[in-house]
Amino acid sequence: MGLTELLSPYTCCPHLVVVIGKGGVGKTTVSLLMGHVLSSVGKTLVVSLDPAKHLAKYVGEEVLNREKVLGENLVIRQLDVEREVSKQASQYSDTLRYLMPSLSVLNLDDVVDVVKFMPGVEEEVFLRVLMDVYCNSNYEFIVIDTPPTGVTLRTLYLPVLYEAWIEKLIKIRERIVSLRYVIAKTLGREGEVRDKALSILLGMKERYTELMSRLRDSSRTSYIVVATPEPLPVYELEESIGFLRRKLGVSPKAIVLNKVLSPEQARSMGVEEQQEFFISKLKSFKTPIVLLGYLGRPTESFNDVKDLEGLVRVLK
Amino acid sequence: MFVYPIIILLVVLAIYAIAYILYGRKILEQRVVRADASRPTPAITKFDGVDYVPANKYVLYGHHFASIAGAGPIAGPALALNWGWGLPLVWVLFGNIFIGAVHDYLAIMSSVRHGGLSVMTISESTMGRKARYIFLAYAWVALVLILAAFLSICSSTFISTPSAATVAVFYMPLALFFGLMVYRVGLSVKKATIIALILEVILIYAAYYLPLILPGQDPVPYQTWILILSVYSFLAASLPVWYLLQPRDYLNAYLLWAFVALAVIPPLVIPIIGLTGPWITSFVAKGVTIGAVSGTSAANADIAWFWPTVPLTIACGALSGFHSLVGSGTTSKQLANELDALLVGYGGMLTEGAVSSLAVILPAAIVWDFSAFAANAGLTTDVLLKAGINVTKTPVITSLGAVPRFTTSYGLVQALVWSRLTGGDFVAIYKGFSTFAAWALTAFILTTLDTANRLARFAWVELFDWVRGRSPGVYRVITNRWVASLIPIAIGAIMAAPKIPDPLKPTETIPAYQVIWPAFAGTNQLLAAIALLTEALWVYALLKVRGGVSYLIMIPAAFLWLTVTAALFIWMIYVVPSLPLLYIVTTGVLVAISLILDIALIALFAVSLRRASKL
Amino acid sequence: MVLLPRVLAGRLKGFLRELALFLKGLNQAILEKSVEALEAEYVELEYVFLTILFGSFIGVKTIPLFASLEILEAVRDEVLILESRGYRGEDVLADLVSSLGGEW
Repeated sequence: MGLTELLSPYTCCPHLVVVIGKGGVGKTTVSLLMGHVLSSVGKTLVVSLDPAKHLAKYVGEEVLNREKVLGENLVIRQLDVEREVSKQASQYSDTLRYLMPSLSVLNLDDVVDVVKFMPGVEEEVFLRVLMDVYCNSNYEFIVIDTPPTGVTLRTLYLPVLYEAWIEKLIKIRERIVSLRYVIAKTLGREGEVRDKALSILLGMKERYTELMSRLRDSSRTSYIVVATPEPLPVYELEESIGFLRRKLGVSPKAIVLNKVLSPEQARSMGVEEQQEFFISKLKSFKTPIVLLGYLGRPTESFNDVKDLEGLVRVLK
Repeated sequence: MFVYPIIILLVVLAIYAIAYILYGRKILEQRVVRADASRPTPAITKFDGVDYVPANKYVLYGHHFASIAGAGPIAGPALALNWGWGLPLVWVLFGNIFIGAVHDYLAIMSSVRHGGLSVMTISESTMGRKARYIFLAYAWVALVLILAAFLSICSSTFISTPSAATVAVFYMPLALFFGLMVYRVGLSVKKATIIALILEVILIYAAYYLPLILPGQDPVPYQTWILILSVYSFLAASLPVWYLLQPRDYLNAYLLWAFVALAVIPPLVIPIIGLTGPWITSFVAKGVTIGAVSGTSAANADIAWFWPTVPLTIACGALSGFHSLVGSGTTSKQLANELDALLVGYGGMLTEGAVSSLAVILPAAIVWDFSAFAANAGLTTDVLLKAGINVTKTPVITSLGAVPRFTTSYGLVQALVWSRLTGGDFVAIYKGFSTFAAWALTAFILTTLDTANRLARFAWVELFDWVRGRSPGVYRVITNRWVASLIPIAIGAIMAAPKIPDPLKPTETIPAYQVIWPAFAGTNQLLAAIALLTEALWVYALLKVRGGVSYLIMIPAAFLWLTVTAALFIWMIYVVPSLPLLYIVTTGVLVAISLILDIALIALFAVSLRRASKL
Repeated sequence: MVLLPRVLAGRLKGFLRELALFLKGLNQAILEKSVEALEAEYVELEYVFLTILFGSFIGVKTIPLFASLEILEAVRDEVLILESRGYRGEDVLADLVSSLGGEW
């Protein structure tokens, strides 16, 4: 088959497969396909972070925040993005309220609920999921069906930004703590070396550094970028790969081109040239390309996905 | 006459004590400010454990005094000796009591009543936004002139007393060593202090044998010192405040107290020795007193009328604008009780006046006429010659430059005291104490040099904050920190560097500070004037004190303004034309700007006063 | 008349006690002066630190909001400094003159 070999070398457990792509190119389909293929190698979980929540359609029932067993070794789950966002936000507004106790007396508590609408809450949630997922050693493979490209890339870049800021804050805080200590010692008082804020900062730094190293470690994480042989999806694919290489220093393990028409179909629809053009364009990335043939009908069930298996062609 | 050191000491103490009780407590505290022990101060209402912390009144007094006492109260009165020793003493006593100490006290109290905000902000709220810019401009000009004057004084001192330079060079490593002992080795501060102080005394003693001079017995050139000190000022002001600067300032505080304590001893040990100096030489001194230079006309002319030009010489000894900033800075935020302010503010300034009187003026009065002093002291002029004083070349104290006047008189008096007490060699003890005096002076200057640079940088940036709205590009250039730091020290160095030929003594040069000092003193007093006018307005408009008591503040404020303005005009008209072009362009322009702002200031004051009287 | 010496002795003792306190106070002042500039730096750094933390709350994009919230709890007591610095605003000159060392 070749799909599993594309991911090697990989270590366990779990090994993450992050599926990135423009909305509509078939991310969820590809994720399920990968999940199905990998489940013959080891226990696999497919998690969808996509707020569009397509996963449910494939199995005909709700899989929000609960695990559904799809086959031997294959489990799927849909993250309830809104609920997580809301949970995270209320955690934060609780903190705010704790810091400003008089609010409840004045019945102004709702004011701090605005935190829910702060930009970045979604990305924050996804980041936490990623961190948690790496610790889930029950599975050998975890396939992540990501949200739309923009959100995904922003999320992946967050730890880099955080690292810079946290480093700066740590420097400032260390200087503050040392000054405080020196002043206390000089004035004959007891100097306190421990500082809660500094510990929190150092803990944060460790968390993000660890996450970054895992995201950059190709034996722990594989990236698969999906597109269809059309202008916008390919454009986004190029952007995504550029981002991964420049900002994260990783290369995707495979490019999946979905809904590839057979030469006859393509000719009859007048897109043969276009399709060929995109396929050769993608060859320039020096990355294995997986061509997924067009099923002839929309993929609506897991069986459809399994059928796709037969339409896979791997170009090295 | 029956004027003896002990009498002078008692008179100074008595006058200050009476003023403290009758004027300070009865009038300022009770009737003007109406201080109330039960009214909580900002240290309590705004307590934050860092800035706003109530402090014990003695601790606060020590803090405040250590911040305000420096090279100013030493150099100024030394210059003023041209009028004799009595007239300057009168100004130090009464100018201090009615203007200087009042200014300090009111600055603290008004700040306390304004939540600890500074005099500058209070000016802004009583006289409008323009007052803030005038304040900043005065501060900047005064700081540049401080840099210029102090660079020159320090360099001159290092030349006339090279052993002080030796101490300075080893002082930094000593401070660093202290820092290491406490912060690295972990020695207790007390033990480390004792070790450091002992080392410092040894250093001062050893420095006499190792004066910092070039091989061949020549002193290090003046301009070399200017360059070295300018670079030092620039570098020290660009470094973050770190462990080195703190130990240095810490050890300096002990130096200050030793200096003050020693100054009080002579009148007690040799109470009855004749004062050889004239009480008053003339009410009108020669122009050289207020910095006149070239040609014999201005320098020799009788243009230095004691009033109004005395503020151009004695600045900090009687009154200093920077004290209002110190007082309304940390002092007001740490005042635990409104009644403490009298000791800290009024008392602190009186103490400074006492230092000027006893450490500078009194010794000068004793040793004025060197031959007569030798006779009074039971010494021969040969002994004086061995000590470095040639009674034929420099028969009187006023033959010397301002700084040597101080180091010589302080040294001689201390030498007399200690040689009598211990039986030691007069000349050796003299050299030790004159080194000590020179070192104390330069130690204060060294700390001020880098702080003044930092502050000038800050004032400059604040002064131009309105540019940001009009032209961000220009603003960025002007407020670049290197630009803002380089300009004051560059101007200062340029002003301090030239060696000006002395018109009265063809082969000698006048140290630059004698020319710069009147400008510095003038702007410093203008800074005090804006503070005092602000206080007067505060008393009148906000405290709503009317009638006789309010005049007690208005009149000194008005008198001060009138005095300083008149003095600066005299200086501009009679002295500036006689100065070398460089000084016309630098000090002349700076003072001209200050005078223009000064007129604007009095206009602002008048307008605000009228507005307040209508309420 | 017999009381006079006792009264005087009492006054003298009181005076000496005050003198002792005065000298102790001076010593303490010197000690505190030695850390003045360090304290000034410490407070400024705290102010910077807190401002960065609070930045996102007041519309100045500094660190991500959620990082702030995590750390904010730990520095709750220090927020007082923010308040007093905020009150002070641009009135910085006097504080610098007093605390940077340097004699005027």
